[in-house]
Amino acid sequence: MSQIQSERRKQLVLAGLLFFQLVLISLQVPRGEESSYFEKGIFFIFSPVQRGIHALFEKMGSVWTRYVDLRSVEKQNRDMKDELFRLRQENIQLRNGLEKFTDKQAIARILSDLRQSYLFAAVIGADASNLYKSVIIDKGSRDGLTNSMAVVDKYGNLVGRTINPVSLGEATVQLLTDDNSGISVYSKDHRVVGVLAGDGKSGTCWFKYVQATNTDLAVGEELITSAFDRIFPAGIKVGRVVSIVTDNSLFKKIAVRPELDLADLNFVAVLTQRLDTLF
Amino acid sequence: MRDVMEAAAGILIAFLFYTLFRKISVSLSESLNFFTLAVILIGLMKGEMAGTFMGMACGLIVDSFSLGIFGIAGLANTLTGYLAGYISRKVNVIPFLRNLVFIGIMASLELAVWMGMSALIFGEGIHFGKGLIFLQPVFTAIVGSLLFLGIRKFKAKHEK
Repeated sequence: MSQIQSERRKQLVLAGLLFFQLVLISLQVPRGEESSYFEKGIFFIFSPVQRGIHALFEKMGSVWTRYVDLRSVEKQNRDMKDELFRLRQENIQLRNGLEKFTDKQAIARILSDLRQSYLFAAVIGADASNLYKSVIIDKGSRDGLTNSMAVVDKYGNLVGRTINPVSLGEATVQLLTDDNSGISVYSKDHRVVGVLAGDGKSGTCWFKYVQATNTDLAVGEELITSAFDRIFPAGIKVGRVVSIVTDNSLFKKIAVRPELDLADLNFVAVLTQRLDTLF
Repeated sequence: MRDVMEAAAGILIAFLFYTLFRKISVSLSESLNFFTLAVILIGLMKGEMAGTFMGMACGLIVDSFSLGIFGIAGLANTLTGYLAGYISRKVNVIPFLRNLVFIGIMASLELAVWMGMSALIFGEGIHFGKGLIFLQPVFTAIVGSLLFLGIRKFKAKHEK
């Protein structure tokens, strides 16, 4: 008898926990992408653990890489000096170019603002269930990060935007390949405007809402952000058109290969200020 | 208290391996689910109640580190943890080969529930990782049964 009661109690606990999780799932429907306090709480507790594990293995890995780096340090130094020289020349040319439009003080202010508008962060983790959805970075609200800040990679290509949950020292970045992502973009050559949405399965994106009658867009054309969504600043490289299919529907089916390379995504820059407001 | 500590250690180890494998190789991390492995092993060793709570904890951690629907992995893992404990009490799954098959079935069940709920009910896009995701139950079974064998041998030696 007591064994039956014990079995019943276990089944009741299971049913209770399943019901609790069904409630958690259903609570999200009215909230949309806003995460619950429960979800934020778990992220808040475990993201520092992930940060610690990341830091530990970075340190362990650096013992070997330091040795390897030492062997090629002279060549690296020479390459970096060349790079620095080239960038300085480029900087002078750009400053001279800017002086045609505005005075020196304004340029100094713009450049100072520009330096403060980037926040560099290391990628410490990837999405636990779908690689193309999100990554975790090691900067959070303590560093001035909030929801919906644009994130770019080391080459200046768009990665995505910060999204909840954002904890004190860590934040989640929704990748542009996520199927719930939507970015206002246009084609660089023919100025065809549309929305870039992620696929969520294969890492490709879709350039949506381009009318079937449009004949301007070509394969290989580059897409850049338009800033119409008021989240991403204008002019950031997003990807390239790889195929265009026209069927019986109103809009073309346009596949885009994002510039973002997930295998090379170790560091990112968060744009804490809209760059297009600086100029 | 000791059981809680063991479960907490299990969660931390699973979290450590999940973070580490994501850093080393994406393909590796896609073909082995450490959280499901921890849930099944705890269910096997500690019974259905421990498996249920472990499943909920691990599943909700997976959910909070993913942009998918919060609660789906929790639900799938809770069910898996309970069934792992319940079935292992009814059927002898201690021998290595049986254990391998059992863990494989449990991991397949977790994957099927998660995929079914994500894709069919919520219409979420599932990243199959060029089919690697379907190897998850196989690798989870191999690693899980070897671990279970190792733990049993260690315990037997320790008790002597």
